[in-house]
Amino acid sequence: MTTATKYKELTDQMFDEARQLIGVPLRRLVVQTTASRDLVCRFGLSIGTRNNLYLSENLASTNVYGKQVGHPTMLYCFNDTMVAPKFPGIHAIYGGADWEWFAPIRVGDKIRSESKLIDVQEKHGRFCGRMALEIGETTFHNQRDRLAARAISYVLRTPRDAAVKNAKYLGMSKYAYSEADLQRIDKSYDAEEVRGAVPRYWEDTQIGEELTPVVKGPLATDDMLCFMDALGGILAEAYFVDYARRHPDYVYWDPVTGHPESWEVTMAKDSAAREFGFPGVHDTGIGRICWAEDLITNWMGDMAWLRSLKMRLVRPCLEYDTTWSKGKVVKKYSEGPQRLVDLEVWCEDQRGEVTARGSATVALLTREVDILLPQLRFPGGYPKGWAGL
Amino acid sequence: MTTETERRAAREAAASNYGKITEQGIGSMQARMGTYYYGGRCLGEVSADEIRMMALREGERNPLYLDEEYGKKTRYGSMIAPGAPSHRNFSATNLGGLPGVMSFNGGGHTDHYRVVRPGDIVGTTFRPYKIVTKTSRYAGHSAVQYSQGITINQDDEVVAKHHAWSVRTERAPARERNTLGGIGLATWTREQIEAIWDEYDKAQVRGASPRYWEDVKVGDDLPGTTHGPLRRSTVVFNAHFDIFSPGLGSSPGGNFFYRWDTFRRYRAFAERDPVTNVPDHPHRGHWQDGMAALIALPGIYALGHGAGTGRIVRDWMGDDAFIRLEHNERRRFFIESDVRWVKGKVVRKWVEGPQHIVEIEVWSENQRGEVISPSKYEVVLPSKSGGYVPM
Repeated sequence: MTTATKYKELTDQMFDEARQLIGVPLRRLVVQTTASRDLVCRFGLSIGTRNNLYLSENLASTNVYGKQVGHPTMLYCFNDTMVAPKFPGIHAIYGGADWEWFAPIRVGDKIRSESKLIDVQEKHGRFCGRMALEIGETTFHNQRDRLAARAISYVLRTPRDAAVKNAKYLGMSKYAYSEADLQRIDKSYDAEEVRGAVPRYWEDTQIGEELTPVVKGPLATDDMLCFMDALGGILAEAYFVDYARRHPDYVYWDPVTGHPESWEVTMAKDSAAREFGFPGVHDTGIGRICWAEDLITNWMGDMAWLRSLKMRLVRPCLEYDTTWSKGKVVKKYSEGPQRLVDLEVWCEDQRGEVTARGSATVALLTREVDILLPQLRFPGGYPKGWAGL
Repeated sequence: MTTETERRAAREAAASNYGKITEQGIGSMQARMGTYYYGGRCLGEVSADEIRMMALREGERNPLYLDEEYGKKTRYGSMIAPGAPSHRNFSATNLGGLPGVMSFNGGGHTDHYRVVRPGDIVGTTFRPYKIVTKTSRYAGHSAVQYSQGITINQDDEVVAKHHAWSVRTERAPARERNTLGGIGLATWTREQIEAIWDEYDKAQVRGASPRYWEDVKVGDDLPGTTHGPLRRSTVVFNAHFDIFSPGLGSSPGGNFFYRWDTFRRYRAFAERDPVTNVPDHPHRGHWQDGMAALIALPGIYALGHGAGTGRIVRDWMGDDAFIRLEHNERRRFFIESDVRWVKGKVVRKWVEGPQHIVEIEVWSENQRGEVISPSKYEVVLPSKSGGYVPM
């Protein structure tokens, strides 16, 4: 086996070129523009949601939004927030995101987004030594020009050869499930709880309280297929050829056949994943952030408001791995009329390893009679024109 | 109403016939003939987004299928979908039966009556009507399931009528037949890839400039289209591209819990992955190398509609024309790293009432010289004498 580098290495010049784009709105192909009922349901089903708030229009007459709404993380359907310009030929891995939501996504809303690079940092890690961290900001506006959400994204740029050489995940392999393992998953699915229409009051919520875990898995290619479809699919045919011509270092040339591929193949082909330093086919990463959101929205109830969710992806999730999203209440406090809890959330696989971790802030209902429900999600806690009760 | 004992006996009988086309299995399929199954995604409105997604994944360049503003200036007054729900969404796996016996999209025939626009609500139902067993050199002993279907829009208008067929064959005999003789995946040099990319660049869309029936001659060749090399990533992540398709496996039911629940209720349907012991869908031959090897294929293969032959006709015919009939036969696999060249030729022209029609023979040929999908299209063109005839 040759020791000569096959793939590009990180250079100082790459850092300089990337930094020149800081603050510049980035160009991207817009595929999806509308939170149609079909997309809202398709996204929900692609993350296996069992929360009818996001699947059924029948609840619209009784929910506070007046219409069926979509999962907060369905904004990934409009922009994958993979802000990772420049660094040609260097693989990109989504490291996580900090989400803040300001408005619900109702069926029929048209969403436009804009992404900018806001920082480029140098990092060192066990995965591949020297890495670049690109921090991006993506804003989402609806057709009423309301800021619906903002996502700060963290994308690691990891030279392939170094990743393969360091072989950080060499010890990981596809997991052989026993019947007892599968039964444990079965029990978790049956134990899942959706709070739904039953209010969850801030006063009744205790620090240390645990959220009922939500299991997703074993992860099959069908799961990734449907999720990537909800996110808009991938470049194909002439569109792939055009992009490959403009970004020649983007192409992954299959070492056996010589045919050109895109990085997404690491989520479908074991040999390609290994070329990028992974033990085998791995997940989108972004999916786990959506599953963690599903955990929280299951727990908080239809009338609560998820203000923010920050997640970092710390280990890969391989094909057929199973993920339990878990959480607990760690803080209880007020901001003006908002009654808030902070949650610690994490994803754990069937090996017991933590594969993602983060935190969230949720505004819950309160029994205080002078605080009304709509205050949960408005900045400062009050809708426009509020003049008191 | 069957008792638990009868159900258990049926399960045990089924288990012993797993993977085989048996008389009993065919008999149980016969009993399902004439029953109705939903074939399309019935969630509601077709959106411009979905039409655009469908077009992008097929590599359509015509803004008629991509751009709402362009669509408003055409005769249709809006963007339209590149084709209607067709046979490509009818999968024998929706029907079930013959557990362990493979199912392949054999082809389909669609009569198109209406375009599909953003805002339309289309629903498709199909039903199996016939199953016959046959033997061929290529497919060995197999069973062919025929289905008929109909797509209707919100005004109760027929959008399309379909016939589709799926071929059921047993795995072990397919492996033994080894029709590809143990060859590996196609290999390509950088120069060959550049040449293929150049072919993509050359594709042209007739678009707004009408192609008149009078100017078309029998024997005319259509400019060919090139597809490939086939990427595993698009086989998997663009699999849903037919927006009218119920999708594979999990959809329309959903991922994770929904599929888990389906597998535990229909245990014979899911097979265990040999490495992880996890129950999974038999259609994973589209992305798992081990599965493809079970039937002596060098690699994974595209879904039936991956060998689509429509774009060559749509690019050539112009926005004032429409496809009234398409007939596609899936004869061979389109395998990872394969390239296929689609060619077309006008073979007939005639007039039927106001319609001036041409018949186009279309076929896909791969780098091994195999004809993958012989097809036929009937296109209604505008004429200099009769003018434009709407769909």
